[in-house]
Amino acid sequence: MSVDPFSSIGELGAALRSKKVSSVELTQMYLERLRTLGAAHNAVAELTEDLAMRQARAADATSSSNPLHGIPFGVKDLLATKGIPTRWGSPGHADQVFDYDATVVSRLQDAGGVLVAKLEMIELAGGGNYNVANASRMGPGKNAWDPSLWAGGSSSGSGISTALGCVGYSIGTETSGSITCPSAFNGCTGFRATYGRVSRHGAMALAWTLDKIGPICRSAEDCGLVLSAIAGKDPNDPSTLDQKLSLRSGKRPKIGLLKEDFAKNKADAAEKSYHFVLDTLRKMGYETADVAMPDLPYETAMNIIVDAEGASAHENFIRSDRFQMLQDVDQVAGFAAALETKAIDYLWAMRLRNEALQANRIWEKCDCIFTPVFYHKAVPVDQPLDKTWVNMGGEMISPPNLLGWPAMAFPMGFEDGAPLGGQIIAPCFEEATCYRIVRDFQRVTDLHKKHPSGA
Amino acid sequence: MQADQSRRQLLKSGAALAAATALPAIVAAQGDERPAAPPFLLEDIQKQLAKPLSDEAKKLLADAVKNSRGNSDDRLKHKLTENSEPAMRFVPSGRERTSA
Repeated sequence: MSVDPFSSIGELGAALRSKKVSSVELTQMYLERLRTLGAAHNAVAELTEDLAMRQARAADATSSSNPLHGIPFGVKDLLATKGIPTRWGSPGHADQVFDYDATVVSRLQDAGGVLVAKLEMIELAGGGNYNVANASRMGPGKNAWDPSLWAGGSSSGSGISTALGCVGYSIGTETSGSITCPSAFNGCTGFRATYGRVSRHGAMALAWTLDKIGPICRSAEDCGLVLSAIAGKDPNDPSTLDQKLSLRSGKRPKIGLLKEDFAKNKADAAEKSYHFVLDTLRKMGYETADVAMPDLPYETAMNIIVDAEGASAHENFIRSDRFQMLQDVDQVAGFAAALETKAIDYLWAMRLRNEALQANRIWEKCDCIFTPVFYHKAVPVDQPLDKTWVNMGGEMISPPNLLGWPAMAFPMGFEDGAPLGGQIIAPCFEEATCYRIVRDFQRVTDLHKKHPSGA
Repeated sequence: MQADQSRRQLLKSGAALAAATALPAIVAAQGDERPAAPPFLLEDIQKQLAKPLSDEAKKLLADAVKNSRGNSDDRLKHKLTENSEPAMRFVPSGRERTSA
């Protein structure tokens, strides 16, 4: 067997169909990489070897035109898996086992996918406001490109394992940045779909009105294949959308550009990368327009909503004698403080979300927004984040999440050898725009094909 | 942004990343003019927990409550349109539906 572990889903599928490799062999390869590389970066919550080998043998025994058939994948340990521990990254949930699969897991398995691992995450998706990378049961998520840097969160293991070629692809989740952040820090392509596009049945709730699930992959095309498999109405999740996902787009979208503060944030590498992306897209015929988001207190609303919904979702745990088993004492303090969130504050935040619909006027001037996820590479893994999170930018994390807008994060360059990520943000239901632009960019560039040395 | 800025200051500067989940808490409150959390509130919270908090957690709880109250104060600066509705809706169900 000779298959590049960094192959795209399309390449892996072609290798399987031509019998160049079997699903069992692919599964063994990825399991071994998870045991070594993945574990060394604290990316693995649980290997699912027995299940994976059964699923791989079943895939080899059947043929299918499904592009995910026989392809090994991992899921964030926030998604329920029948009979396999689902610990939500939390030492206080170490013995938690569900007797059913999350809808996303079922859909991928129905597509012939092979679940090789539950992937580590920030405990309880960081809802208590964590301040150390070590806010995770398995230890701090170490960046795939440089283990002295953080992998980002909360879908840390999903970003790490995808970037290190430990899985064919992975699933992450996002309340406010948890797909785009680890994708940017690890050089992955991550797809946060419109709120309601993917069923959250069987997913840990942090904030019901914000939580979203999406793929973290090595290309836009891979993200499209995975999102197509997991999207769709689910009677078990009433928030799922009726509209069918389509990744086909019509006329070439116009790209909106926000005022960026590269100089103020001393972000030379990000500025160079940003202009490289823009120059590339303009050469392909894409047009741009300067745009601005309305000035609204998005972050205040986000904080209040996550506090209120997170404290409610985890109230039993917060009041239990296991609560102080959380790794990060900031999380303990944050969740406890959130018990006192006022109903009137929460309702203000939810009213603000309706008022914030005025931001949709931005789409009168453009069809999407291109902006860096952050202005700098990942921060050090071993220092408190409130000391290192400096000049990072990231203003376009909260507003699109409050509004339910989709985004695709993708590698746009490097800073001192570590990845920098950009993102294409689109109106609700228009994932096709994100997909098209990043796919086009990746067809003529090779940033998404670069891998950490030694992996 | 400066590492020692409070979350409130960060919000003012428009550079805040205080939202939970993806991003770390920017909770340092040094030099913050915001009033300290009232002791009775901290006690009330601690009474709701199964185990006493460590000294470090008590200190961080005071900071977290202060930040949370800061959100309450900050949101008052943005007046919403009179009589606007929250982005949530109760869906009535017929008699045949007895569970969510």
